[in-house]
Amino acid sequence: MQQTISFVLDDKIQTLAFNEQLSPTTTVLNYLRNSPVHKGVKEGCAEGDCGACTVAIGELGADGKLHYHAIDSCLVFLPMLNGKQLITVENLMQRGGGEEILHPVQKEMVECNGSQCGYCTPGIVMSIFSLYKTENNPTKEIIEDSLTGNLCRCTGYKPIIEAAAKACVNNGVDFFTKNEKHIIGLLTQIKKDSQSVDIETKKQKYFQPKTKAEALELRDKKPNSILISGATDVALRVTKRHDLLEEIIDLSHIEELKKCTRTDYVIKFGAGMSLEEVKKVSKNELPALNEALTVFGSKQIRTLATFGGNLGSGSPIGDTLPVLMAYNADIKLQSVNEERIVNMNNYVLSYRVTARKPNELITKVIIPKPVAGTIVKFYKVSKRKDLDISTVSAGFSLLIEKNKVSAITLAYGGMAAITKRVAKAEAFLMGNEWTRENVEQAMELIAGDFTPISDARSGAEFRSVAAKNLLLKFWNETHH
Amino acid sequence: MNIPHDSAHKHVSGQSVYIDDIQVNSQLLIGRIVYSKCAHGKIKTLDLEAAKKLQGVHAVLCYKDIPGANQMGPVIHDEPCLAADEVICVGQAIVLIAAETEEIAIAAEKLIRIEYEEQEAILNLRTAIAKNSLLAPARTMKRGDADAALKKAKHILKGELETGAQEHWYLETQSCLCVPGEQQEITAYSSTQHPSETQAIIAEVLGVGKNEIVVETRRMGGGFGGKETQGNWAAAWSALLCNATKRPVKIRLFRDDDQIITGKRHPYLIQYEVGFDDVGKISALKFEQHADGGCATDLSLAILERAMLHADSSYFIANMEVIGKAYKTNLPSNTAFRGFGGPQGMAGMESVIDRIARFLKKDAVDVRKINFYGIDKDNITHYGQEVELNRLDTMYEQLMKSSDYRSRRKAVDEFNSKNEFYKKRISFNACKIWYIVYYVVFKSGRCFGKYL
Ligand SMILES: Cc1cc2nc3c(=O)[nH]c(=O)nc-3n(C[C@H](O)[C@H](O)[C@H](O)COP(=O)(O)OP(=O)(O)OC[C@H]3O[C@@H](n4cnc5c(N)ncnc54)[C@H](O)[C@@H]3O)c2cc1C
Ligand code: FES
Ligand code: FES
Repeated sequence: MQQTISFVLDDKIQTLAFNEQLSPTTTVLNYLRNSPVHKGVKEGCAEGDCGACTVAIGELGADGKLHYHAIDSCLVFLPMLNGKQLITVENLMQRGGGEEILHPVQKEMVECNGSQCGYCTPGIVMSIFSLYKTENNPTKEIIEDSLTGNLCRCTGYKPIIEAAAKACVNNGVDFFTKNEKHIIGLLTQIKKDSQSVDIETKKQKYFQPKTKAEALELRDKKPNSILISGATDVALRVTKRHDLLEEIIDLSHIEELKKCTRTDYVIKFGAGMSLEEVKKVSKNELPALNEALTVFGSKQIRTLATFGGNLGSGSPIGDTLPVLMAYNADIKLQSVNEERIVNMNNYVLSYRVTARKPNELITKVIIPKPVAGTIVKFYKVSKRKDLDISTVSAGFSLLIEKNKVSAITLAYGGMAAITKRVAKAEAFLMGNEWTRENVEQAMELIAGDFTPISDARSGAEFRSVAAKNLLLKFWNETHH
Repeated sequence: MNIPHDSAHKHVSGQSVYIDDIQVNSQLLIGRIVYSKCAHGKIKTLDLEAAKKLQGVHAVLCYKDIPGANQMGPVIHDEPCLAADEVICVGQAIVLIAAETEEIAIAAEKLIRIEYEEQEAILNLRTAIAKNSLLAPARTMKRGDADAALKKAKHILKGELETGAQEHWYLETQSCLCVPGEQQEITAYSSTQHPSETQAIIAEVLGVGKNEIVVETRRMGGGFGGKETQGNWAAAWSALLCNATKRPVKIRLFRDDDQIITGKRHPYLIQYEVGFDDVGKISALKFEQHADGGCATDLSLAILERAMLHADSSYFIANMEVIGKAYKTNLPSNTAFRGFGGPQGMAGMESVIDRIARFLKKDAVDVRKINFYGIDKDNITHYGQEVELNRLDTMYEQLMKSSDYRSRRKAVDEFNSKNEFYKKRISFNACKIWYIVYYVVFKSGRCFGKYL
């Protein structure tokens, strides 16, 4: 066990111990802003919505190479950086011979007039930087996707998108490339010595196990501790509600939970996989899941957020829940002495209450590959396309055989205290023809299954109409 | 090649210094605002004692501790700096705290006890209209005799348009750092769009000469009107705390607090009655514009006038009457926002044109065209200004051609008739940006239409 964490910043290993002055739930944003030389990183919201706090993370992959990702530093607790490289906007510029040499991304942002008030700019530069390191000649779609997490109120984005297109043309080569060997050396050195982390201050305890077995042991002993995986949900308790989190188990450093395996019939996702990774893996075989993740948060959020975390909250507006119901997925729950499978349909019991016992962890999400001919779709109604929480969401699946509906799942999020299927409408459509008349009758049955609420996102009436119309949309996209 | 922004190099490398980035010595205190949770009511209890005693707290101030005037209204003095015995909106500042850290300031806030005697609150424009809760007497602009012309008109339509509020969401929230100087002097590093007014307000609140106060605005992380007058608030509050503690004090609002405390774009309800002939030529038009000013005057009247001055958009209407009313409600005082009332005024007019087009089953483009201001005649606005250098017709011709409007309109109509669920739209709107009378010094009197 070690009490400190180490990461690379400014080309050096930084080792931090935690105490009264430095809480383990200090966000990376606040840590950086407290330093005199990293004030480029900005706070615009402290909740993952604006991207002004974007930094890049360099991670040593199994391939021995460095992989760069943009993340929102306002949502990351310091210990989560353990073993990684942290890159800020200041690191992109080089100083040499009394001159300041801009990174190609920065240079294009200057030349395309990508900044006006400049407050969003450091975050935007960091998002484009991680794009620069991962994509060459990206399409407009890819550029826009990598900027979904960055708000700019001044420019209207056009010059920023243009700057990204002009900058990302060098196959990712820059002075970071030259320095990579050195950084890999430092990260390897941290890794070599690293153990599970056990931090204790006067007010807080923070554990970061390295193996699943350790995590299960810990959880068994401390069933009331707070679990974090990507922390994109939990961090808000600190940044918004100013809660003191007394005991935390951080699952972000368990490699076993990040693996994806497959058989001919199922794909098994580790609960610790980032949703960005899940999005990539699901692209061809599970297009509805891929679609759900395309409109999920922003790239920065998806890079941090995990499958386990989305299911862990059991929120009725969690976007993966309806689509997992449509795929008839299973969840694997594990404790020290037991492992069991719970079907998605039996997983959420009531508002944010799930079938998971306190000493269990979600370790896998198992999705059967749909039977040939099955159509699965995901729909999300929200005030804007990207970085928004669902007002209503839906995961539908449909199999038509001999002109009749032979299997159907209609699951809705945002309509009740839990993600819920519409039993009456499903029963009505089963065995019937997939015609507009039948679908319109089923639409009327949906109303009976829900009494939606009115809240800041929409009124109850809008929700009811939207839920019905999503079914019509599904029909419109699937009938022949 | 673009001419780069003067600060671009610093922006992209993280070297530009905003208020929260300024390096201050270890004496720095963090300021926090305790604001009303009640939209309208009397303050029954205000107990600050426990907060004052908390270790690390250096000042807890209420209205009684203001050495100068308890006032920060920029034009009309109807905006207390800190609520005295009454609160008039959720978000109104009541108490200021200066503490050594943010955590201590938050802990101190939790120790403050405020109790209200709730009173009836006006929370939307329609209630305000029903109660005739005016901020100032109605304003009228007219030319010709709209009532008489309406009687003669072939067709008459009545209707209304409601436009909503809008949050500025400047990326840098309201911020100010005040540093004490000699005796009463204070230097305020403020994210304000109006430094000289910020200086005046700080001086008034402290009861000192303006010469004692220096306001420095190096740069701003966005304002969009939201820091035109309301940037003064964080400045006045941090100056009070700085004056009370004689230490540097910084206020940087959390995003949530900023959104709760500050005003938005003015919501409008615009009612109209329009008379026109078979081709859509308007002969008479009456507008009544109702604006939700929020709980104080702020810039509502200037914004209202600008909305009234833009009620014609780009069209000559022989008989026109515009009545403007701004209402007092129990929402944070609505304020300047890009366009300053112009967008609301024009939206009213453009929606009238669309109504006429729909009624006559014509393309709105043609209705717009026949109502444009003329070159040698029909070129005087409803407030008597001559429209000079009018290029409306030329721009219309050019844009119709370059956008290939007619054939695209045809394609859109065809698509819509064939598709039940998916619809397309194309539109061609006039827009006037007129630098006019509300500040005489800004008067330039040029009209330029811009077509989108
Ligand atoms: C800006 C922003 C945008 C967002 N957009 C969306 C969106 O579009 N759609 C959406 O659905 N959500 C959205 N969210 C919510 C959140 O990001 C997701 O729910 C995310 O999947 C949570 O994953 P995480 O790993 O970050 O969870 P964490 O915050 O780490 O944990 C969330 C919960 O799950 C529990 N948990 C985590 N891992 C496990 C595990 N292995 N076993 C058991 N319990 C576990 C935790 O105890 C906690 O209660 C958004 C959040 C933010 C801040
Ligand atoms: S500060 Fe807005 S996303 Fe982090
Ligand atoms: S440049 Fe001002 S917010 Fe982007």
